[in-house]
Amino acid sequence: MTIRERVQRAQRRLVGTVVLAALLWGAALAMAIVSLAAALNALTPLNAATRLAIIPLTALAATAAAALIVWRGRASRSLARVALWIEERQPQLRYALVTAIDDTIAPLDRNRALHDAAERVDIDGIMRHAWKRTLGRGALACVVLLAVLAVLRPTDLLRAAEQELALRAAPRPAAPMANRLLSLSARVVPPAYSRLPARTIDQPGNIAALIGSRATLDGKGPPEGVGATVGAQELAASTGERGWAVAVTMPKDPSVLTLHDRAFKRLVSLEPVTDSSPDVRLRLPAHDTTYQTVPKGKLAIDAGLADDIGLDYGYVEYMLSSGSEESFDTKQINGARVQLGNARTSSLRTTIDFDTLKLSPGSVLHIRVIAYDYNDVTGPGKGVSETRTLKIAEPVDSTSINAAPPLPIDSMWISQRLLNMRTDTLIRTKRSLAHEEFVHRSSGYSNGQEDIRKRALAVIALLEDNGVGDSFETEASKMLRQAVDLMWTAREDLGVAQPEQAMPLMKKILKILDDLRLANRYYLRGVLKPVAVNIERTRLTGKDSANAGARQPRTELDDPHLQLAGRIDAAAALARSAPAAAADSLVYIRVSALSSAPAVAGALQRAIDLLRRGAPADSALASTRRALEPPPRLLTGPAEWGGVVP
Amino acid sequence: MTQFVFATAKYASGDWESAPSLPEAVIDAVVRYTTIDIAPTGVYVDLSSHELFNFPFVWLTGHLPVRFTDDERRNLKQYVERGGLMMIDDHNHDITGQFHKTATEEIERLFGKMTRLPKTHELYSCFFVFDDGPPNTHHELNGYGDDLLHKYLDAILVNGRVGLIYSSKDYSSEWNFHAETKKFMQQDPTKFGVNLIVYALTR
Amino acid sequence: MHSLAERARASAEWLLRIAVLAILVWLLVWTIRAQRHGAVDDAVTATLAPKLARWSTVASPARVHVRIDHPPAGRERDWLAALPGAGTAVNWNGPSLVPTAIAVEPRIDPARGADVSVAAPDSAEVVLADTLGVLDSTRATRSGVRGYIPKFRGTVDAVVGPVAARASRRDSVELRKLLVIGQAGWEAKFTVAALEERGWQVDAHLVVSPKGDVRQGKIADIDTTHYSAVLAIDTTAARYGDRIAAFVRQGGGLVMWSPAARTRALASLAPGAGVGAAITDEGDVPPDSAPRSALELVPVTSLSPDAVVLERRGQDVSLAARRIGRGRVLETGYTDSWRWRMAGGPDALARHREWMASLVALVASSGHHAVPAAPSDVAPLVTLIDRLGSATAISEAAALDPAVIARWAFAILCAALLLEWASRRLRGVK
Repeated sequence: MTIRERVQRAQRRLVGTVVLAALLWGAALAMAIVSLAAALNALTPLNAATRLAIIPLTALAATAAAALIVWRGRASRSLARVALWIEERQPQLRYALVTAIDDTIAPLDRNRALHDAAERVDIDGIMRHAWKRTLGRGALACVVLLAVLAVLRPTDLLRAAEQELALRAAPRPAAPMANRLLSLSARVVPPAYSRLPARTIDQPGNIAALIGSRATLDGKGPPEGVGATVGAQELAASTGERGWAVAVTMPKDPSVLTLHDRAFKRLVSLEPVTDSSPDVRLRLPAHDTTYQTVPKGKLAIDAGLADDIGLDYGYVEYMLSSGSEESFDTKQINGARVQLGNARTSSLRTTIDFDTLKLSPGSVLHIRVIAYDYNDVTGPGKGVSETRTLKIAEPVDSTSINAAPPLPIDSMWISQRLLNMRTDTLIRTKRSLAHEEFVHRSSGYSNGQEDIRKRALAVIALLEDNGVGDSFETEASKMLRQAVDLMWTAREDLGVAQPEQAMPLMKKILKILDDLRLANRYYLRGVLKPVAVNIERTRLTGKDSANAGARQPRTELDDPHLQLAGRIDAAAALARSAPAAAADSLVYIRVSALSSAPAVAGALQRAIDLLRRGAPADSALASTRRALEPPPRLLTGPAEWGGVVP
Repeated sequence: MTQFVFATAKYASGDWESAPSLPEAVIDAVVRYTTIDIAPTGVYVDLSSHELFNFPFVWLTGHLPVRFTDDERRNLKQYVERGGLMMIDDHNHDITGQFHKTATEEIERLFGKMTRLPKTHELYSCFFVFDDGPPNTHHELNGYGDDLLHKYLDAILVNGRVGLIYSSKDYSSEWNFHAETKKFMQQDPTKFGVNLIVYALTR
Repeated sequence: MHSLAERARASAEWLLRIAVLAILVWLLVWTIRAQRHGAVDDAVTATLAPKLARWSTVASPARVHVRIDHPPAGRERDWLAALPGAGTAVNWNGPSLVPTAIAVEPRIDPARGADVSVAAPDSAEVVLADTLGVLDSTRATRSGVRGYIPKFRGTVDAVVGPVAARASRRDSVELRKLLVIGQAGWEAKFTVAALEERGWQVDAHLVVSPKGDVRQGKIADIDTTHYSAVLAIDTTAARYGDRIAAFVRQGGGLVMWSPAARTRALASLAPGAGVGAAITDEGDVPPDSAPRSALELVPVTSLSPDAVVLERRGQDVSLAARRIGRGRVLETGYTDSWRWRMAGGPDALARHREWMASLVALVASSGHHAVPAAPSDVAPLVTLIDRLGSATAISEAAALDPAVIARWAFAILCAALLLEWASRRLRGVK
């Protein structure tokens, strides 16, 4: 083996030694760090962050230490440096070795002595020494540290550190998605017939729109998992402009739309606006009429029409009835449609030609105007005017229903009133009159009273004649008899020039006639001719048996206002501990109140807004509860009896 | 105490006075079978007048179309809701006729759809017992008008109580006779009228 | 020879010594007196809370004077009342305190509610309030204030000036049924309807015919275990006369219409032995402001000595009542109250119902059971007097703060001593 080969062998051994030393010292440092950590942990438990750092630190330190040793031993890669390293330990060589290994500088055949000198070095011995020295220290350190670790037993610590590391190293789960209902917007498109513009509402708490409007609520985020309910109806979200969208049609009744996004919830109240029916006012004819003869010519018809959205068309409806007794024939005729061009107000004017209607005595014509709007969702809305009734009187009926001539009782009343006035004047002017004049006038009034008395007797006879030959007293005739008796006495007093005595009686007479006039209004067929049942003769003469059934009790009436007040009480109690839940509850209550107590609905909205902002709503809720409750009443009457409700 | 007065409604559009003897016949029946304090004669009362409310039972009939005025409508609504009982009877006995069409239209406009009274309703047993519901009239048995036998009466109920009865049975013809005529009848056809008045006065 | 100035100074020094001695003697006497009569402190309602703490801990005076401008809270009042037990006498006065008392009774009515009675000085402004705020306010009459609160929230306050009296409901009523007896007619029909709609359970006997009457419910024994009240509409109730009389004496209530009072069986119960001529109505619409002014009235006349008039219409008695045994009887002259319901204004339906129920409530009997009651103070001034004794006048002298006196006396003492010493030393006298 040449000297060069021997040095190469030594180089290989040196490299191996460096590597082994690096490993040993790297391990020793790692064990030292672990020992230190274990010792500290035994004194005070290390926190998670420190535990987390143990393994990486150990690995880093060990790697660094090994790298350092390898770096320091890098010279072993060079043969010349290895030869120099050997020469440092064998100074007597005087660079013979480093020269001998280079054949180009000192070839063997020309530098035999040099080679021989170099050959004499105990390279193996040097290597052994170095190997023992280098690796021995490292090994010793490792053994000592192993012993320390055996005492400290850091397995739990290392396991915990490993777990911490594994946790941190594991991929983090994605952050949960934010509440997709927070940024809400609603686009409301009214039904086409209304020709109203669409509108957008940001952060809607309630949506008021015509029945049939289409409301699209949208928000940010994907639609999966977002849904809505309205009553029993479920609505799924679809992809919208901003992320998700839910569409709903405005129902007929107020409702609550509940939007869901996982555990999140948001309420929006749907407040339908009803499209009113057209309002139709019949201006001409202005009132009902009874014609005494068959009318000729044209009758003007004029109606005013109005609608909240727009009018479609209108027409005049006629009903012509003719006949009598039990047999009538009625024809319905609709006039030509008049297009109203979606106007909000309009007029309808036309005429009827009586001549074309073939009217006859006894005919009845009913006229009204009808208008429709464009509502093709819940309608069309139909508006009707009042009906005008035009009657043509029948000639056999001398007293028409609506234009009765003065009735006997009315004329009697007029006469009696005049007589009373004159008698009163006579009494007051007694002193200024001569006695003969006074007596003369009083006598004249006595004749007047007798006149009225005879007329009354005639009316009594008429009243008590039931048309079949019998005579029965009626209420009216009984009253008139009483008046007749008084008239007799008054007549007598007036006849002996004592009008002061007659006056009170004459006032009573006038009162009776006045009462009769009142009753007489119910009988519009001219002369009073009621048919009276003879109560006394007829009472309980029936033979058939009866079996009066039991009465079923009525239920207590629920006051919707009080029910609302009770629900608001419950929500108010909840407001202190759970304002969000109370606000949701009030949304439902408000929807109920829209139909039964609309004035309260506004106050409830204020309370909802306050609760959602986290502000107290006691005052707003108190005022709504008061508005729904019956007010207290102050009582009158003696104290010990509690008092009577006024 | 006010005695019972049989009132017939006068309304603007029709022949409200078409059954002038009906009150007498019904009053006669009430007197024959009960001790109810009743006026011996009926009255006519204007449906548009506040005097309507002095008579919590009112009969309304006619042949011609029924088109209430705004006042009549307002009064009728209050009347029924406050506890009055109105009996509307089609004097034509014709559900294809204009009285029926217009009257039912007016009723629905004011109160919504009517309810069919079942044959077991207490109206048919509150005094006399009518097992088969409203008694038939001679007119309908003889095919008058629409030639149908109407087995039911329709009604508007207020808190479970009948406030308005609609009849296509033409009792207005059946009962429109002088009370004296009953002595020639085997059966008194006006007994159901007693039920109507007993119901009105006690329910 | 001393100069005049020196003599004057010497005299002044003696005067100062005498003054010091006098102050010391005065302090001694004052201290002895205070010990005999006690140290005195005072307070007003606003300063009462901290003063009470001080009197009970740091400085315990022998006597305290308290000016109460509004009744203290229960805790402070009780604390004040406990002071005498710890050796501190308490004097108080409250010239601005108004005697006020309140009582509440549940109304015998299915709609519940409560009747409130307030005692307060004549013409005093009385404010009724509950947990939601002010209910109403009015001026008291000689008989105080009475109100009906349809929706009662457990407590009600009557505030008169600075005094707030509070009453709470302590019991609840157990209603029985009502029995209505009369001829089939409008008044009977609408009376039964109104009471049922209100929530009463009604048995009825409506006379129609010898062939059969209309009944509702099984008319049980007429006693207070079955019925709270009987309503006799007209003379047909006479057939139950003896049973009704026994029922009333047992504690039951009877509402009778004037025509019923004509019957021999019921006349002995009626507040009015006579019945006036009917004042018929004119057919006018009963106005909401005074609905009964347009109704037919059969006046109650010949009142029994123990009858109480509850309402008049002009000169005529329209409602009267009396006690019979343990029961109560009310007679009403409004024989056609149904017209109010049918023909009245927009509120007529509800108000007629309420009025009819109030007539029944005036006489009806019921069971009672206790309910948990909120804290109350029905007569704050009475409670104050009961706990603290009568009010007394406070003398100004006793209002002196001993600490202030001690400070001033010490200051004067020191000043006098200093002056005397300074004068002596300046004169060269030791």
